[in-house]
Formats: sequence, structure tokens, C-alpha cells
Amino acid sequence: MKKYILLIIIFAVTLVGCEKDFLDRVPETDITADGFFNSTADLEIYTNGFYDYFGAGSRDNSTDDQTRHSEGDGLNTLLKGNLTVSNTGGWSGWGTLRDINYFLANYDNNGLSESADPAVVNHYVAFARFSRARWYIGKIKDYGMVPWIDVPLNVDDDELLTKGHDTRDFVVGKIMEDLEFAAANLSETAATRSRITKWVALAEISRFGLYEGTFRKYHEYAGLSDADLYLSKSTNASQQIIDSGNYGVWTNGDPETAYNEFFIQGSYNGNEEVILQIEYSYAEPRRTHGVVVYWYWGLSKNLTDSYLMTDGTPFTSQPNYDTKGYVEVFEDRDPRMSQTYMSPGYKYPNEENDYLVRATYGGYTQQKFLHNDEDESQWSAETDMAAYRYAEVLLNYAEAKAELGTITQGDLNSSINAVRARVNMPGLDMATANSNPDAVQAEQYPNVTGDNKGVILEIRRERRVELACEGFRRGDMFRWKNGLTLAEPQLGMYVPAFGGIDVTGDGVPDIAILNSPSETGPIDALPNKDTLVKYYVSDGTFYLTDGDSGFIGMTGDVNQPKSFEEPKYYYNPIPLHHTIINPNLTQPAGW
Amino acid sequence: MKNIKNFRFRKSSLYKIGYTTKATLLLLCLSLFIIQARASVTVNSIEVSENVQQRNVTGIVTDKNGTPLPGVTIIIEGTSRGTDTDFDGKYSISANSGDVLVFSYIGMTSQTLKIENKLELNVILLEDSNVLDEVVVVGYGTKKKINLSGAVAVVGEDVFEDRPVTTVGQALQGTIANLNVVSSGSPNTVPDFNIRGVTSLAGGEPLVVIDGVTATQSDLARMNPNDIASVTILKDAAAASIYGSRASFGVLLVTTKSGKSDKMNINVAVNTRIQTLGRFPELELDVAKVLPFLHDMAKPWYNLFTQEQFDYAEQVSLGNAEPTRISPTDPNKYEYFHSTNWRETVLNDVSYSTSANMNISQKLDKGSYYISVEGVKNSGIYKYNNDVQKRFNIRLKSDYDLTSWLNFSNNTWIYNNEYDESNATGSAFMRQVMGNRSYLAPYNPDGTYTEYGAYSIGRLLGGNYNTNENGYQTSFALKAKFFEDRLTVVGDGSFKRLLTDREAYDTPVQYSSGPNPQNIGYEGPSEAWASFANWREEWNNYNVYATFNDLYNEKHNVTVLAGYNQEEHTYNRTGGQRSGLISAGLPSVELATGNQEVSHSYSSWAVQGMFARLNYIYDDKYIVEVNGRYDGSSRYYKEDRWVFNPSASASWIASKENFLEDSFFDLLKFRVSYGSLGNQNAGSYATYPFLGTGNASSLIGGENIVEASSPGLIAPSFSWETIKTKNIGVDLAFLNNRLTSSFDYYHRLTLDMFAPGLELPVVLGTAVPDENATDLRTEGWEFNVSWRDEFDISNKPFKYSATFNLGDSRAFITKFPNPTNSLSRYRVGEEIGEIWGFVSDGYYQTQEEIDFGPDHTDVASYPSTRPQAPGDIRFKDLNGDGVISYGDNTLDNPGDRKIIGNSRARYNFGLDLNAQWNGFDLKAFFQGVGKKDYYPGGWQDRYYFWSAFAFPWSSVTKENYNNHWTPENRNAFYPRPKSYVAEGGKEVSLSQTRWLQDASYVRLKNVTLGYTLPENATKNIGTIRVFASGENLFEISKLFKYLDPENLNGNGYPFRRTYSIGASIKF
Repeated sequence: MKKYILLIIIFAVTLVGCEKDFLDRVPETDITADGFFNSTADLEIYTNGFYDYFGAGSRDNSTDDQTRHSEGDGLNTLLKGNLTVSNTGGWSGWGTLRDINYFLANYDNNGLSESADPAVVNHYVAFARFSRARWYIGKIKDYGMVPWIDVPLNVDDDELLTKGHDTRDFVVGKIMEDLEFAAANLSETAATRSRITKWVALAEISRFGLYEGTFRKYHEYAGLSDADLYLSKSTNASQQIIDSGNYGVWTNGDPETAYNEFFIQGSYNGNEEVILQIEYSYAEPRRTHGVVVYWYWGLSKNLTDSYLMTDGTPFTSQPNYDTKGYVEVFEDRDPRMSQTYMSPGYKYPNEENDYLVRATYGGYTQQKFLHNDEDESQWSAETDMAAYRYAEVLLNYAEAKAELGTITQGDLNSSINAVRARVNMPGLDMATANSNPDAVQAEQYPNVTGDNKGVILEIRRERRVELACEGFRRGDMFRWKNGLTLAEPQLGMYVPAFGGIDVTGDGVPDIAILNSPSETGPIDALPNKDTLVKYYVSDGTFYLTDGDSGFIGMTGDVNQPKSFEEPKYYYNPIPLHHTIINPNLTQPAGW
Repeated sequence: MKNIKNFRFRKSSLYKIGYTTKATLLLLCLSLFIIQARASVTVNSIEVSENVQQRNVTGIVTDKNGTPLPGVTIIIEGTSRGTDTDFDGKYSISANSGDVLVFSYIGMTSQTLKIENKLELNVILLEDSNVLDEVVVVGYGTKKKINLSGAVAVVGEDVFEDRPVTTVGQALQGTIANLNVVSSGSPNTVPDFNIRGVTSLAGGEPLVVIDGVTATQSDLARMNPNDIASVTILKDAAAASIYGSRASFGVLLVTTKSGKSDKMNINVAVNTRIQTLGRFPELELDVAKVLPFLHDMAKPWYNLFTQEQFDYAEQVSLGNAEPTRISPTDPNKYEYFHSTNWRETVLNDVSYSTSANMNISQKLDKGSYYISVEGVKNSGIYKYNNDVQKRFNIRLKSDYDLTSWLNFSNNTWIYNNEYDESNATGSAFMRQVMGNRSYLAPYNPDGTYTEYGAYSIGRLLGGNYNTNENGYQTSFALKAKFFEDRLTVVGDGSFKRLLTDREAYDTPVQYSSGPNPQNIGYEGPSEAWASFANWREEWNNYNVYATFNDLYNEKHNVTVLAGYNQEEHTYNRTGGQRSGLISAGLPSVELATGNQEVSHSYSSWAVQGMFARLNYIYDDKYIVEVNGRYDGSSRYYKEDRWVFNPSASASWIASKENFLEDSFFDLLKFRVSYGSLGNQNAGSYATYPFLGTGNASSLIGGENIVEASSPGLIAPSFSWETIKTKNIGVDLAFLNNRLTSSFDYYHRLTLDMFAPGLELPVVLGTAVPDENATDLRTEGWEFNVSWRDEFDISNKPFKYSATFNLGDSRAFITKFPNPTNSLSRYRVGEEIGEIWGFVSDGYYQTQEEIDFGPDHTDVASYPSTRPQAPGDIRFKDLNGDGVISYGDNTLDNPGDRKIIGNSRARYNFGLDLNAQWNGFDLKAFFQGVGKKDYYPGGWQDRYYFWSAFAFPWSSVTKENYNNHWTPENRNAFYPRPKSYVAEGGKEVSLSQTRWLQDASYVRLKNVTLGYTLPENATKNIGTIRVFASGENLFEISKLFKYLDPENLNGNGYPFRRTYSIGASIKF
């Protein structure tokens, strides 16, 4: 009996003999906040995340470079007058800024700077500040004004949380401080073109300095000064990159293919033109992009008209340029045109037949970036992309110098004409350009004035052609205060009359454009009338500008015409909800 | 693909005998053992039988007043042999001296008597105690039901017997008012439980306790339902508070069976089930109709087909052309003109499942034992690869009196649960299958997969997940009794281990899109991979408690309970995955060469509690009880760790008062209770800020780089939620306890709910941390009524009963940091489940109505590329501003929206009808919801409800095709044909009155017809019962006919109907 009592007591004591710290449980497979930033390796790991913020520019959705737009696209919604403070998105991405600011506030918490090589530490700090600058550039472009936050916020930071906008001057000043710190402290070399260097920061100054400088110059209503300051910062940065001798315009030696080939390379390591690349891979770990999904849009007549003739004269100076047939349009043009478009005779990878343009998209189809690798589909391509390339720096350089009024023929030769050399186009002559500014360009960009009007117009043409489909167009048109042009309906190919059209260059009609399925008269005599790919105006997707002939236009532009309210449309509205939560936030001009 | 299949088969034949086979084998072995055992028992009885022959036993059965009782059933225990008393209460039965007679009569307590040497047995049956004296398991003890003062409900083992469902939850659904159970059609479903409606915005489920040990809903889903003796539901704080903070939203107390009878009881039951698919859309498959319809739907974005293709489809439809052809414009491509019903291609219409279980139990002189085994095979719906759950359960219970005052017991549960499923299943796959265009085909003429065949059939075969849970739980307890049993001391320790391993692989599936070999593509992963994961969960649970009970002066019954409880849980998971299988048919990480990833995660939590209960009953009429428990949790900051949970309840049994003694009440009892419980609503490491780590999406040198990111914010102080529950109730019984009823009203406040704090400007850059900032009020009632009686038909007793239960709850936000009353967050005064929507105003019938009506730009689907036209839905301009809008999405300015319904299920009910006569038994069980609204705006609805109105790359339902707006059919069910109108949050995908569904329903959950073979047919075998049963046989609902009322917002696993036959033998 007694042994059982003893047993119970032992049992009970064992049970209740609870450990003192029974309720203390510590995580074992996660990093707690105070256990990191012990070495420069930790700094690298943290800042690795910043590479996710780079995206290659691509697509010029809803600009005057495209005919057909996806309705969900923000610019299209804006131009159609459908954007409101209630339905707009945006004012987002603050988690990114927090990640950057958290790094800057905490990287030295554990006394790292006492033991580590300061140059290495500063490289990562510079990367963080560079990333913050880029983040704020996005906000400035969208909203013009934005609150500047440079610490990771907590819930009780009431003042910062409910802060209103800082001025554009203040924020841009801070951006420039960050960029200049980055340019001074980032490493000059890297093991691969995928890693950041000082040259990337300079390329960003070149890009943003031009943006900000021209914005200030042309958006006079905003009352901003210092346009020249930012243009000078741009040219200085460009100059440093040029002077370094590290970079050049890449070519394979063949002007007929070099331009296209540049954009479909598997890797840019060792490519002298690329300052920073973004890698994509179809193999695991997979990361792919879809910059050319060609049935989402067509390229516009307006862009098509911009390409010069091979002799350097404007296409728009050709007699009857406005009534040329589809195949004819491609004849004797700047070689970049047939390397940007699916020109007559183009075969889509893996196909035996020539590609047939689609009238419902206007008829001009993008080829640039489209890889000819059979493994790739358009929406999951693995060609690497250039986030910054030297040719852009050269274009920035020429434009900033021209806007500053300090450009010389020598500058043109080392910039624009170096870019043109890849495709064997004749050089731009400053005197010729300025003495007789192209009338069509002048109409396109009515704000350009002054002694350098002619050369600026040609630099803008060059930029549009060289950087086509790389995502610059919207920003360029906005900073040039050229929004009204964006509101014009964009047109596609010329259709001389209902009937069959040759689009492959073999003289045999491939497609037919008819008024309706029952009105087959124009093709009845054709031997291949049954196999023609037919498009009908009666389907309601497109129309012809003269009814039964003319350029292909999009019915949507007639149903709901585009418009541009200045200066309101140069800015995005802040979603209503955010201005309710923080009443100190004011909407940008006009909203 | 064949390789993989063969491999799988070889693997299983090598070392995986099927579970049903295993169970059957084990059952056979056990049966042999039992038959042998019985043989020896029989021999023994023959040895001693020389002077105890079979004899005729007679007697008279009366009630306590001496009135003879006619129609009393007398059965020889363990057999089906028996007789009834005649009109004078007399009986006569032939029996052996060792037999035991069971006397039973409706409204009376059954009596069990041994015959021994007696020839005459006169019996007095007392009034039924079923309602009044039933003993109910409550926290840390048992109580007479009559003495309960909290809100408690009980179901017995009959709920679980012979239902062709395999989980406890499915059997419990509808049986108890305000116990809400949600399960899916998947063979591996883990039903979710809820007691009394909305608990906390952060979620909160009832505590599950199996035989005194805290358990999980998964444990309930895995256990053998036939092991259950009773389930007690503790609904209010007073009843649950002894379990403290874990029990703030009620408790399910599950008690398993034990050896109860001196005689060895052996039960064997088998059943086999056929399951068929529930509601599915009927599709329009005629290619000549489908192509033009989809073509119109896709305008103006796509010209899907040409006139030539329409003409060809016409010829195929007439049987004049092949349904697959080489494209006339591209000799490398096939074109398809089929009439494929993809659901039939991929899903089985019928699947087969079986279960077998057996148990043996006995009460011995110094102890008892209960042993059970169960094998279950549950098949799913997929035609290819596996979709099978196999479960195997063993329970071993025994207890032994070490001394006259000390008892030692062990309760061990061992289980294996394996679920083998294709990698491709799940909701995304089901949606794809439902959405696949009917004119496409699974196979090309050369036998290769098409792209869609590869996605559906190929993907099913291309990869597999096998999840195998092996677990055991064992509890040791010592129970000591002192002072003539007035003091009981119990110490127990329970140890639960669950080891889960999962092996998976996935392979690319090749298809061709044309006759030329270069037109090959792949579905699935770019490289074949294999993976494994193991996770180990450990629970240790200890209790020590003492109960003292005494009766003073025959009127003062005092019970005091005090105890201590602690529990800890750890979770440890490792896994690895590797791509680049050397051979797709050998899916192991060891046989792969590509990228590999390993992972590890660990977590642990612990709780401690000290509890006490004082219960005082005066004169069996007045009952008062107070409970208190002090709980600590590892999940909070040290200083916020502990919480005190008090409760009190009182009850008055008025029917025992003299002035009501002769009233028509057999029972009239009032109850009232109040309690406050803490609720632990935080993750294991909620107080720790963690840096995010992982692979960046960017590549450097072709590899993902590792990145770290900033930690989220954590509130500087947070702690327990507080749940305060009030309950009043009344219990009633009339007409000799044949009619019983009870009603409860409750009011529950969930205070300081752990929820996101005040919304802050987004410049914060991270989620506002959760804090104790929000309050919720839930209130409701529950009611049940039960009638049972019997009368004779053809001199055989006809017994029948009907039980109906009904419960309701509503929940309102009483505090929420939302000063602008934004409709995108909770707001004060909001009722949970509110559906805000537009008021539909019919279709536009003319262009003039569009031109002069309110501006619909904000709500129309793609208004600029596809302008509004007659046949489009139109909304009422509620605020009269000429524009249909969302306003500023606040309560004060909701635009043209208002509350149009509520998505919560109210008036949940169950109706259980039972009858028995002459060996036959019939049960019909209905379950349903009285009020619920549903707007078909979810992902699933794009395939089941809207189909081609969501995407032109879709199947076309019969309703789509036949019942859409045309100038001739201006009030059709669907608008004019246009795709993308049911997605993107515009037009018809907006919640609105027109397509708001009444989701209430009544469903025949179960009907069972059983027959117990007459004794002379089964002499010396035992009692044999055969039954046929149906589950989810039909439903009455106003829902759109393709939607299943229990699978709205579902995971895509279709609900199924079950038909079952089975048999049970009791030895």
C-alpha cells in the first residue's frame, strides 16, 4: 500500500516538477532583428534584395508609338478620361522604401564599421541610397510631389506618418544627394554585368538629370528653376562614362542585323554597351519576361513615319509617303525599322510561313526583343535585358547638351552619330538640321524653340527610333510637355481600298480587308480568295479613316476619344482612400 | 508516363499492402482468435452445465406502483432472443442459468438481471432516467445531466453507427443546435467545427478534448468514429471555463468506449460505399453551336474563328467530317472540332470506398479492456493516378485495480493515415477542367496528348503527392480514492507523437500541337523534380487533480475540484527538393542532378494552468457552481503572460418543488451562467520580429541570390483576448419524458480582439501590427425538441422518435479602429457577413436607355473598347447623382450600393427521424440552413456559374447558351453574350441584387434502412444486422442549380452523394 502512495507522489512530482522557464520558447529557424548585420557578407545578403527593384524598360503601352492598347493600362485609362481618384491605383511600394531605410538605419547597429573595410561597407550603403533615389524618382515622375521619408517608421511616428508633401525641389535635391553619394562610393568594377557599379549610378544621373532638367524647362507653369543645373549634372555624368572608355556601341558588324541582335542576347557579360543587365533564364531557377506579346498591341503609323530613309532624309519628305502600300513603306528605311518591326517576309520562330500582320491591331507588329529561340514563348522569354545601356547615355548626352545650348558637331559625332554607325546610317549634321528644321517633327514637338530647334528635333527623332519599345516614350513625352500629342488617335497601316493586300512582299495578297463577310466583291477574282485571312470593318474593332480606304484606326478611339488635360494629366492622382487616411496629403495639380 | 505508373505499382506491391487488405487480414486473425476463445468458453459452460440446464423463466414486470407493464421487451443479453410482456405484464422465456436478461421499456430505465438459479424473476422498472439521470462527461469529471448548470449538449454513440461517413465531424453535422460543421468532398477532408457563430475576427475554434487530452480537429478527422461512446459539447463559459483560455469558444469532449459488460462483447461491422458526383453544370457540347457562341463572346478583342471553320464545325456536327484536322492555313497545326466533356474525361462518375471495424470489450473483476481496429479506404474522384485516403486505427484501452483504492489505466491510440493524390489536383485544376473548351480534345489522332489533354490527363499522371501520417497517443493514469470514495485524486500523463512524411514528384508532360514532330510542347514544370518532407509534432500533456464530494445532512451536496495542467507542443520540419530527375520514372531526390533546396522549420509553444471548481447542490433543486482557472502562455511577453478565467452558474429545478409536483412538467429547469475567458490568439513567436529571408527573384550568374528584408512591426504590448459569455436556458420534459425540449439564449462579447490596429498612412511601409484593439458581439439562441414513443403494430412494438434542433447567431462589430467608416475594413455597427451591392435594374433594352440613363462608366466592363449596348445589366442610381459609382467607399457615401444580403448561415437546423419495428429500423436525417445569401463572384463561379461570360476560353454551359439576352428573350437569366464581364470586378462580377442567390437549403443528409435478422436464422452466430444507407441524397434549395449549397466558396472539390450497404455482427 505504502509503495503505491509513494508511486503517486513520485508521479505527481514528476509531472508538476515543471521547469522554471517552461513558458519561455525561443525560435530556432528564423533570424531575429538583433541577430543580423554582423559582417559585410550580411550587408551583401540584405542588399541583394535591391536587385529585385530593377526592371528593364519595355513596352510603350498607350503612347503614340502604339495603335492598340490594353484597356487596363494606366495611361490609356487616363487618356480616355476614365481615371478618377476613386478608381486609380498606385501610391504604393512603400514597403520597398522601408526595406531600404531599415538597412540604412540598422546596418551599423552591431558596430560593423569598426571592423569592416569602410570602402566595402560604403559600397553597400551607396547601393541602398541609390535604390532609395530610384524609388523616389518613380514617385516624383508620378506625382510631382511626395513626402520624403528616410527612416523606417514605427506606428507612433505620427508626425512623419501624416506628413504632407515635400516640395519637388527638396525631394529632387535629396535624390541627387543619394545618387551622387552612390556614384562616389559604389565600386568601379564588378564580377558580372548583373552587379551594380559606380557607372550604373552615373547612368542614372545621366537619365534622371535629363528628365528633371527638361521637365523644369518645359513645364513652365510649375515655376521650377535650376533646369540647367540638372542638365549639367546629366552631361557631367554622361561625360564621365564616355571618358572612362569602358563602354561602346556593340555591333556584330552587319548593319542589317546588329541592332536586332543586340536585344536578343543570352547574356550581356562582356558586352561593351551594357552598363547593367537583368538576367532571365528558362532553366531553373526560372525567371522569364514577356516584353513582346505581339498581339497585345501594334506599332503606330506615327512611329513608322519617324524612321529616316537610308540616305538620312525624312520619310515624310517622300512624295506620296502617306499613300504607300504596306510593303513599300519598308523600302529604303533606316535599317533599325525592319529590325524593330516584323517587316515583310518575317517568319515567326518555328514557323514555315511568313508572318501575316493583323489588321485588327493596325498592321505593324513589333519584332524587337522577340527571341528566335524555339523554346521561348513570347510571354516567357529568357533573353537578358539591359537596364542601362551606353547608347542611351549617348542620347542623353546629346539631348542635354542641345537643351543647354552647348552642343557641338563634335558632341554629335561622339554620341548620335556613334549610335547611327551601328546601322550604317549617315551622321546627323548640326548645321543642316538647325538651318532647316523638319516641319513634321516641328509639328510633333511644338514646344521646341531656339537656335538648336532643328538639332533638338532630330535628337528626339533619334531617341524615339533607337529606344523604340524600351519604355521611354511616355516619360519623354511627359517631360517635353507633349501630352496633347498623346491624345491623338493612333493609326496603323494604309489600306488603299477594300480587297486583298500583300504583306509578305511576294506580290501575292495574303490578307483581305473587307467591309463585311457578305461583301466579298473585291476579292472574288483572286485565285486564293478562300485562304486569305480576312478582316471585316463590320466586326467593329477597326475602321478605315476614309471609310472604304485610308489608315486603319481603332474603333475604340472613336467610341471614346482620348483627351489630354494640361497639366493635370502629367500627374497621377493619389487614390482617394489615402487622402482620407492622411488629410495632409494633397492631390497633384488639377486632381 | 507508363514508366511512372509501373513504378508506382511496383513500389506499392513491394512493401505497401493496401490498408483495407491489412485491416481485413487483421480482422480475420482477430475473428479466429475470438472464435477459438468462444469455443473454449462454450466448452467450459458445457462442463459446468450438468446442473444448470436450460429452463423456462417467468415473471411479472411492474412499475414502482405495482401496475403491470405490458409490452416490456426482454432480451437475453448478447443475443437477439427475447420476448415481450403480455397485457398483464407477464412473460416467459427459455434461458440458461448463466444468461443475463435485459428488461427495457420506453420511458423506463432498463434493468439487467442474471438468472442464476432462479425460475421466477419479478421486476420493477423505474421511470426513465434517460433525460434526468444520464451521466455526462464534463471537464475533469462527470456529472448527472440533471445537475448541469451550464449550456451542455450530448450525443451518444448511435450518432456514429452505420453512417457511411468516415469522420466524426461529418457525423456530428446537424445533430446539435449551434454546432456548425463544414467539410469538403475530399476523401481526406478535415471538418471544421464552430460553436455558436462568429468567434473572433482572428479566428477561433472550439477546443477538442479526447479522453481528457487536448487534441486537434485533425485528430477528430483521423479517429475511428465507432470508438466514440459520447460527445459532450460545452457551449457556454461556465461549462467550458475549467479548460480555461483554450476553451473560450466552446469544447468538444470526446469520450471513447470502455469495457462495460461482464460478458465479452465483440462487434464487427463492414460497409462499402459508392460515391457519385453532386451538382455539376450541364454543358453545351455541339461544336456547331459552341464555336459561333464563343466567337461572339470574344468580340471585339478576338476573331476566334473564320466562316470556313464554322462551316467545317457544321459538317463535324452532322457527322460528315473528322473532328480533328490539319489546319488549312498551317500544315503544322491541328485544329479541333470535338464535343469533349472534360469533366467526364477526368473525373469518375462513381468511386468506391470501404470500411471495416471491429471491437472487443469486457469488464473484468479488477479492471476492463476495450480493443478496436478500423480500416478505411476512401476514394476520390479523379480518373487517373491516385486520389485515395487509407486509414488504419487501433485503440487499446485497459484499466486495472492495483488495490481496492488505486486504479491504473492506459489508453493508447495508434494510427496511420495516408493520402495519395495527384500533384495536379486542387481547386486550380478543377477550375481548369470545368473551364476547358469542349471543342478541344485530349488526344491527337496519333495518340499523343494535345496541350489540354496534357494539362488535364497528363498532369494528373505526371506527378504525385503521398502524405503519410503515423501517429500514436498514449495516456497513463493513476486514480486513487480515499475516505470511502469521497476524495478522488487523478494524475495522468499523455504523450502524442505524429510523424508525417510526404514524398512528391512532378514531371513535364509532352504534347504536340501538330503532326510535325517539331510541334512539341510541355505542360507542368520545366524540369522533373522530386521532393520529400518530414515533420514531427510532439505533444506532452500532464494533469493532476483532486475531487472531493460529500453530502451533508442529506441535502447539501458539495463537490470541490482543484488541479494543475501543463502542455507543450513542438513542431519540427525538414524537407528537400531537387529538380533534374535522371529518369522521370524514378522520382527520388537521390536520383536527380539539378538544383536542390532544403528547408527546416521549428516551433514550440507551451501552456500551464491551475484550476478549481466548487459545486453546491441543495436538496437536488438548487445548484450553484463557480469555476476559476489561471492560465499562462508562452506566446506573450513575460509580463502579459497570465490570465484569470472565472465563471459562475446557477440552476433551479423547479419541477422538484412541491407546488409543481403534480403539474404536467416532468422537468422544468432554469439555468443562468456568466463567465470570462482569455483567448490566446497569437502565433508561436508573435513577440519576435523576424527578418525576411529567402531567394531574391533576380538572378546573378544564373542563380537566385539570397536576400534579407526588414522585419515587420510588432505591437509593444499585446495579450489575451477576453471572451465574456452570458447564457440563460430552460430545460423541459412532459408526458412521461416522451417530449423533451430545451432553449438557450446567449450573448458573447469578444473583447480586445487581436486585429490590425488603426489604419495608418501607407508610408508606414509595412502592415500595421495586430493589437488588442477590436470588440465583437455575438448573440443567438438554440432550441431543440425531441419526441419519442412506441405503440404496437401487429402485436410488435413500433418505436419511433423525432428530434429537431435549430440555432441562430448574429455577430456585430462593437469596436474597430476605422474612424472614416471605410467599407473596406470592419466598422462599428457592422454585422458580420454583410454583402454590399448594387441594385440591379434589369437589362438595357434600347440604346436610348443607355444614352439617357445614369453613367455606368465606373462599373461597366471595358466601356471604351466595348461600349454598353442593349442586353447589358443596368444599376439603379440610388443616390440620384447621375453616375453609378462606389462613392468614396465609406458608410456615409457608399455610392449606389447598399446592404443587399448577408453571407452568414443562420437558422442552422437538423431533423432526425427514427423508427424501429419487427427487426426493421429506419432513420432519416435532414440538415439545413434557414437563411443565407450568396453572390456568385468567386473564382469558382467563373467556371460553374458564369463560364463563357467570364472568359471566351471556356466551356459553354447549357444555361449560357440557351438563356442569355437576345432581342427575343429580353428577360433572360444571363445578359447579352460578352466575355470578361464576369471578371475584373465590373458589371456582373459586382455583387448586386439580380444574381444574389438564396443559399438556404434542406438536405437529406442520411437515410438508413436496417434489418436485424430474426434470432432463429442466426442461432449461435450472434446478432446480425444488415443495412443500406444513403448520404447527401438530395437537397431542396433555391440556389442556381449548378451550385452546391455546402460547397460555395469551396476548394473546388465537388460534393458527393454516397450510397452504402453494410452489415454488423454482435457476438
